Amino acid sequence: MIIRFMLNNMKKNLDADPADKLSDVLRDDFGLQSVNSCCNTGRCGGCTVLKDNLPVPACMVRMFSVRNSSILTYEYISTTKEFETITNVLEAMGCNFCDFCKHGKLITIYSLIMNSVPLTEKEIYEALSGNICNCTDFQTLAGAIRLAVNSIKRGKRAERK
Amino acid sequence: MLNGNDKIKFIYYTPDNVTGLLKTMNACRSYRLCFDDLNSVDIIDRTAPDTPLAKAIYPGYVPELSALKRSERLFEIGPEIKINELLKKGATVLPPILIRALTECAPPNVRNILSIGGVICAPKIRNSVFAALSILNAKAEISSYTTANLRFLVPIQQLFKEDGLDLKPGEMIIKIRIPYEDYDVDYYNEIQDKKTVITFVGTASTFRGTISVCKFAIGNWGDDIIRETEIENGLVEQKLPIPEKIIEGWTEKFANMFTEKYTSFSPYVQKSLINMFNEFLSRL
Repeated sequence: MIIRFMLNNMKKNLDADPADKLSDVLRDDFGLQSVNSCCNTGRCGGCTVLKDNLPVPACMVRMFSVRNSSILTYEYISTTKEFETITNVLEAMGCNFCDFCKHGKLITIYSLIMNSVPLTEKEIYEALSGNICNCTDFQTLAGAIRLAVNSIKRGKRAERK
Repeated sequence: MLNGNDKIKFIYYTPDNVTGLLKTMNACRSYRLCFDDLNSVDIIDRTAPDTPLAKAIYPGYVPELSALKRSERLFEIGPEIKINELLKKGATVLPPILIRALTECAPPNVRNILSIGGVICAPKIRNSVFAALSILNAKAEISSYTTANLRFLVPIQQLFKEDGLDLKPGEMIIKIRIPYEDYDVDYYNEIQDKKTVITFVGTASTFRGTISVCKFAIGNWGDDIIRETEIENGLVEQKLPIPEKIIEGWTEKFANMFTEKYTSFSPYVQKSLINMFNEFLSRL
């Protein structure tokens, strides 16, 4: 079955088995190593990608539901301006993620900041509850995310001027 | 659920409208109904059980199945609507007990692909949402290609039998209808046992200082939900506030129910559920 979809803002026509998992296709067919499927049940958040700008666990998405949708992975997101601002703020605040959760958490934080502003602590906690790794203190992370939101806002204002 | 049959090469159908979907279902007879979140239901034609299960249908591209409508008396929820979308659209209109149950059923990134139809059909996560839908008197609107103009309503608890989902080949849940009612008290709590999550949900309405409606249900992992209409009816017309002695009496009756009927629960779960029932009554 030929499946047409957008991967990292590029059109793709892939002849794949519709029952294949998106995480397997992204790793095996496209060589995107940031997609780490560890639990295969959507609990760990290691394989998080953006499907139509919403964070989803790629290990729970079958190829038949990917038709005509847009998939963004860490490889694309890490090249955006906003992402650079986010990582700079997180580093400055001392939030260093481990290799197990880094990609999943950064994608979740990126989508959280891009989709809903302003953020309450409860919203941040709920959004990150899909990533089970506790390598970073939550209070520090929540503070860093709020700072990142502010610096992105400031950057946008400066651009307009 | 997906199991050993996964090695079978399925032919996938992804219809774009309801008529096409029902037509495909009618033509396939035995098929696997797939949802976004790896959940699936096998619908087997019992008149021809030897037909190989080699066709899979994905209803996610039908826009009519992803709609939320609110009329004067009821909410109509399409079974393919994603839970996060439903929570966003219905944040102010849906009953609070349903919102709580939907929020608790999965983490937010999974809720982006989880549909309410998938949740109802999946035995592992059915319990929380299913119990809430049951006490809200939700009904499933079912249609098929042969009876396209004849849509019939089935109470949500009657959708399942011992061997799984009770849908005949060609039949599809088109909508989930929830009657609009205002409840004064909503109670939701869950308890985790070794392998299971057990949910206690309750709602009640009051009228002129007495209880006019009181409903509660216990959602158990994989099994049917537990409802005790005898206790529910007994609580109706009880004057408020309920004296402690009467609460203790009802709690004792609730506790006896476990020793008589539901012995499969561990003592820890039983005690927690009794405490939850007591807390629910105290809130009235």
